[in-house]
Amino acid sequence: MAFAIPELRSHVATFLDTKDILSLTQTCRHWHQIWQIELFTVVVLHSPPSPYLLAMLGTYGHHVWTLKLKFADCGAHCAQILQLTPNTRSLDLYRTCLSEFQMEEIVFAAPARLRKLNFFLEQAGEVVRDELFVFLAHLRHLRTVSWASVEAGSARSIHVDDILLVLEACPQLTSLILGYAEITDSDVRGDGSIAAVHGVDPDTPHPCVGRRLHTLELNDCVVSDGSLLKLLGIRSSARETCVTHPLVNLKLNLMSGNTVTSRSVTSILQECRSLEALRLNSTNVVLAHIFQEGQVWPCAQSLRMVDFINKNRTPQGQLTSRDQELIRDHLHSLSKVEYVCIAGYPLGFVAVEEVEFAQSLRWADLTLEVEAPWDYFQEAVDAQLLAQGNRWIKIQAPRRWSCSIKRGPPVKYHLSYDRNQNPMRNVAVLL
Amino acid sequence: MPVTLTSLDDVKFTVDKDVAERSILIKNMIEDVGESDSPIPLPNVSSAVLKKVIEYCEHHRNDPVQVQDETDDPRKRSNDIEEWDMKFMAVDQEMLFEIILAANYLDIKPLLDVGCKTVANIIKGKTPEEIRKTFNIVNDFTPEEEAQIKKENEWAEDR
Repeated sequence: MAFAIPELRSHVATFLDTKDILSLTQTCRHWHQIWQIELFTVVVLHSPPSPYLLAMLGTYGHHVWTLKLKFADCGAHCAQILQLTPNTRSLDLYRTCLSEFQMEEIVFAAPARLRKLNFFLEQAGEVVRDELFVFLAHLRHLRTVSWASVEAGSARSIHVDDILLVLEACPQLTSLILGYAEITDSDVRGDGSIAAVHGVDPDTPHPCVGRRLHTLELNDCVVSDGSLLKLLGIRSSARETCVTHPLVNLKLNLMSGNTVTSRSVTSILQECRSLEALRLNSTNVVLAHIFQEGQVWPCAQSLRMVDFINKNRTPQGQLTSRDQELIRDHLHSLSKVEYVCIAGYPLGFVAVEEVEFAQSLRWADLTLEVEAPWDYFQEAVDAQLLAQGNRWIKIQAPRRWSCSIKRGPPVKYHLSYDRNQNPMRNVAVLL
Repeated sequence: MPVTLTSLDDVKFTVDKDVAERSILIKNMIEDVGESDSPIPLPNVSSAVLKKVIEYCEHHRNDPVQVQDETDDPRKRSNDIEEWDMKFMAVDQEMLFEIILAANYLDIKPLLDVGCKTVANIIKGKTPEEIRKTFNIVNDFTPEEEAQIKKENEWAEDR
């Protein structure tokens, strides 16, 4: 039977839940022996390990691939468990405090193969600077880091230089997700970073240069324009030599970053020439400032996702007809885009009429101003969907002014709307 | 260009090259040997199984090449199986495991995935006793051993 081959057994196990593997271990002695190993590939602990479990980890610990510790003060037990699980590739710590000493212990007990780290720390004490983050520079093989460190519900600060130090030290890091942090810049605040103490050479190339940092997320972070541009290696001053930014295929998520402004976003759109995704959900970025006149974004050919949900998705004033024409022109230039979301900004049909962009568009979420009775509009849309073989799938229409449509397999389709005695007559709309 | 494959029991199958090359093993063999009329021997696959494998490869000949899943969490894969694949895998257990072994040997990742998913779906949600019946396993645990195993794996039950 294929189960005799460990690789095939492990492959089957990847499609099973823990409960199923537990059942397999209870069938007979032979299957207990072979399936017990699979039980240990993912270890999730909700309470401190008992001496019995630690003994089991002594036997099966080298099979552990993913380790998730989800109990109070799990940071205190982490280093001990890591010493028993030398092949761990993914480590998650949830809602724990960590002292500098414990962090140091974890870093030095961490296996060389550790690729993914997900820390959600709840720090105590008066220290508001996150001095633990910089320890990650010792884990040189990391590929994915998700880091949030909060103190009594408020954000802790991380220096840009410290982030850059970690990026420099971990050349394989392709995904960096920071949450609830205040990203500070020593140039702005004048308080020297830990990285500066450790001796980062300002003359060395920016660690983002030429690397494949696929994902950079700053969720619910406070970040100034200067800090953001410094982090990405983009010059913030027009007087400085502006280097074409070499970050490859970056997906940038600035969700809920209340301090992100149109200025830095405009620079990013101009400089990150192979930007793949830009998410600005719930930021204060003004849409009309981004879609400026006279220039196609250099990243237009690489963007696959643009997500500009306005804060709270409520209408924020009117975009002028000219603004909407510019939006339409920019959308036309996004030839590879798969996902467009500018919901919350009420657009007239002028912004989307006769749009023939994006052969590979799969999802569009736009807010349309509909002057006709909404019910009538919905009926017209439904009728058109039906007539076209349901190639468009309506997902939701939560409010009068919002309509989300998901595209099915065909690559391009126009939804026509026509109503006599209506200002929107004879327009072709791509939703 | 057609390619001839020879099974364990010396049965010859002639298939299009693009069908045969769904197998990475065969693709590499063709690349190594170059243009040749010589049959490709597959000494680990019987004719009955090879026939099924070819049927799968012909159906999926135009599928895009699967990207390697590098997920760090080995327990979050989908068990969804396409309708055609589900019918294709509606075979007896012996054939099912033979197909998995052949897919592994021939290095046909999508077929290996669908085979392993089928086995996983057979196991899913079953009690130890139901699994024993399904795979014709004799319970050789003593009651004490059974209790001991339950106890030693208690840590895993509250995930």
